[in-house]
Amino acid sequence: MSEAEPSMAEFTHLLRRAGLELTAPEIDALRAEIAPSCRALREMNQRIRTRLTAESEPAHRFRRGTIDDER
Amino acid sequence: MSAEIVPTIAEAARRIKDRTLSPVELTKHCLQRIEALNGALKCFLLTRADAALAEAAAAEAEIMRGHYRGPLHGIPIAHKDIFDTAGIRTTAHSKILIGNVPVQDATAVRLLKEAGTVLLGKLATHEFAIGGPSFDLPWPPPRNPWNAARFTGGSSSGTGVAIAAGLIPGGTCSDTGGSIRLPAAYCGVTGLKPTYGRVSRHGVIPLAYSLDHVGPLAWTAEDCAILLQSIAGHDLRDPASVETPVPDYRAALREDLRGIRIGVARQFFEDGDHASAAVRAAIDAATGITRDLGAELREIRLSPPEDYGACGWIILFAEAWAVHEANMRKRFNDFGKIMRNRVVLGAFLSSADYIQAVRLRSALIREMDEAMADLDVIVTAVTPGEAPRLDDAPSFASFQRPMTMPFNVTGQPALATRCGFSANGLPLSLQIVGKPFAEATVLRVAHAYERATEWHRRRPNLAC
Repeated sequence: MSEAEPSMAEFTHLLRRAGLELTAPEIDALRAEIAPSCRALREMNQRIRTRLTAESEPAHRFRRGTIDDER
Repeated sequence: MSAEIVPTIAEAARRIKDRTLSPVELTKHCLQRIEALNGALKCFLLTRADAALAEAAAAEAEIMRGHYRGPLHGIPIAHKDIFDTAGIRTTAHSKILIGNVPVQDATAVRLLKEAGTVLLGKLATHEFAIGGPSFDLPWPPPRNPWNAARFTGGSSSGTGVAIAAGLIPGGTCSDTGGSIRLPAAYCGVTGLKPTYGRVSRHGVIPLAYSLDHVGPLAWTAEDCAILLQSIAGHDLRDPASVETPVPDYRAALREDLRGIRIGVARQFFEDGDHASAAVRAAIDAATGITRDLGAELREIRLSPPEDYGACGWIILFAEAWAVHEANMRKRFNDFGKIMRNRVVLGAFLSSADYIQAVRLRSALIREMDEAMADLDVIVTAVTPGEAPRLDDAPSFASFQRPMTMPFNVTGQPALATRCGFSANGLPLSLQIVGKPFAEATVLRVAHAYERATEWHRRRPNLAC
């Protein structure tokens, strides 16, 4: 998912890419209905990436003083 | 039996074995209660009275001939309507499958049939175990027997309601993010999500391949042990099924709690005042009882539940989209709005999103293994409070801090049992989590706690 709120064009593109052929009013309604869920999903994706970066990148582990000889 | 609700499986089994209760009498009693109460509770999508009575009569005849199969022989049960039942409609509570009649039983259904159970019918679920509570499906959502205006939890809502209302003594469920434990909590019954791979999912309509678990829901931990005994075990037809010995679960219940080491995951329900004061007080009281019974308690800290939630939901939506992609393309408007609006989120995820979530899952499993190295179980809450109002059931946007999803991510066994009641008279629930394949320990702790308390003696007040 993109970081920013998807525009109507992007939203329509995502639906088409998924193979969902909805009418314009259906797309409008769906976008309005799932906007809060999309935001929540985006936050979840961001949380995962932040956590993985902090935990697993060797540079971060080096700075924390927990680097070992795995490299 | 007219004055009774429905006995527990353990009690009914004892009486059937002693021939002081007939399977036909018990089945008739359940059918009468279904007839009287299902109109209001809406937990059964399908009942099969004549076939059930025939099965009960066959069980009775077999027992009279001296062939007693075990504690499920002659016991009436019902299945969540995502379990395939040969020759019996299986709909996933959806218009999509409204005419679906499987030709084969799910493995769990077959094993329970072989154990001698009597099948009363099929039970309501959130659509495809995710879309609910919904009012735009072929059947309405079930109603909470403690208060019809309250949410039942989901997705195994029909099973939770039917057991709480005393229509059946036990049944089957599935749990992908909490769908056994949440209805157990909101309906005030006991539900066990076994370890990932312990019970076959063959013939159970999937929601998310790497998070789906099959397990029992019943009135007590002992009844869950009896049901689990019959459905646990390796099955080549489920690629996730694990070949590992199945212990005697009821034998484990004979042990007390002396020497059991319990870690209390207080942060899951206390940080940020996430849970209500009633839940916190109930968990504190419950842990105090386990200490009095001989357990050693210590507090533990894990990653924030939001990390587990993010990991679990990204995986769930990506996998759910993979399950439903073809029908979503062809029949988008035949799904209920809640179901399609949740599952379509998976179409917006990238392969990188899924892979990163899987990477985090490995880290969280490792963290949990380390946290449990010198513990036998973890206890925490199941929900932040009492059942919300049915018209205020939580949306996905509020799912970011789950208490049940962490143990779907790690695949550990996790059980929910009642541990009190709110000021509104609604059940509160305790979650007991074990090491992988240590269901016996989880059941042992739950059974000891249930025996030491009186919560399971309280039933919803239903006119029948």
